Amino acid sequence: MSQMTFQEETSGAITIVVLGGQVDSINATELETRVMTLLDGGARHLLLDCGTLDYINSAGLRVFLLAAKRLEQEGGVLAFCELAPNVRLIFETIGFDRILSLYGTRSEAIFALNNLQAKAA
Amino acid sequence: MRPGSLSTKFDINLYETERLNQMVRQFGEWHGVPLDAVFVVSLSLDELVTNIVVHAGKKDPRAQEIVLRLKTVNKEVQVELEDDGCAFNPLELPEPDLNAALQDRDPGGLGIHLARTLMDCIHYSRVGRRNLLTLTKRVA
Repeated sequence: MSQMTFQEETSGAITIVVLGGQVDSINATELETRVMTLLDGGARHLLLDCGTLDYINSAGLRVFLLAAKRLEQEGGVLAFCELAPNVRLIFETIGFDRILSLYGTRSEAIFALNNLQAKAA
Repeated sequence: MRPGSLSTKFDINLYETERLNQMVRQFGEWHGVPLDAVFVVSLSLDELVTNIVVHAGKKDPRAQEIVLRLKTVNKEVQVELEDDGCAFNPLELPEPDLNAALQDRDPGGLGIHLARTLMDCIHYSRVGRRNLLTLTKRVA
């Protein structure tokens, strides 16, 4: 069985989701529901820590695209950090590195998101 | 990489993509295929099989089975993916516009783009009543 793990944390006004395991055509719907629930609940600065994400296909990438579009419209941002080389390769292959905010480490991402928020405030 | 081959069948069901990924990983392990090549082959096949399953239900004759053949030859992983559905060439689907701004990006076509870009070679042909995709990944 392929498994996806989805753990929520917060750091100030930033909602962090530690996304791990595998995201595929079967569980992408669950990912979509959980991410959209966070946005419905008011999350505007959402960071996906992909440090333990081994695999993702286009069904999961579609969810990222939908969430990023919605957050941009609502004045928020969807950011990613700790991408494994294979996952980063996928993001780059479909040009997501041009339209999404990708950071190396979690602390870099939190620093950048806090700055964004300070500017917006 | 050690030479070898594997042939197997899948039902027309999204849950089969899970078994497919496991099988590609297992095949890679048995034949000493480098992990990054296993990842690319596994992802590409996942996307192509998902497409067949999704499109197979739309038009008659509906596909009843998918046949996968994997082979390691010299420095290549060679793949054949065959189904018995109506003629469907996924390579004719429009390419996503990677330069579009976030709000203009369409989520469609990402899977095929991944397969087309990450594999070294991908080719479609209609053989009798079957769709045949042949793919190659070169291994360093």
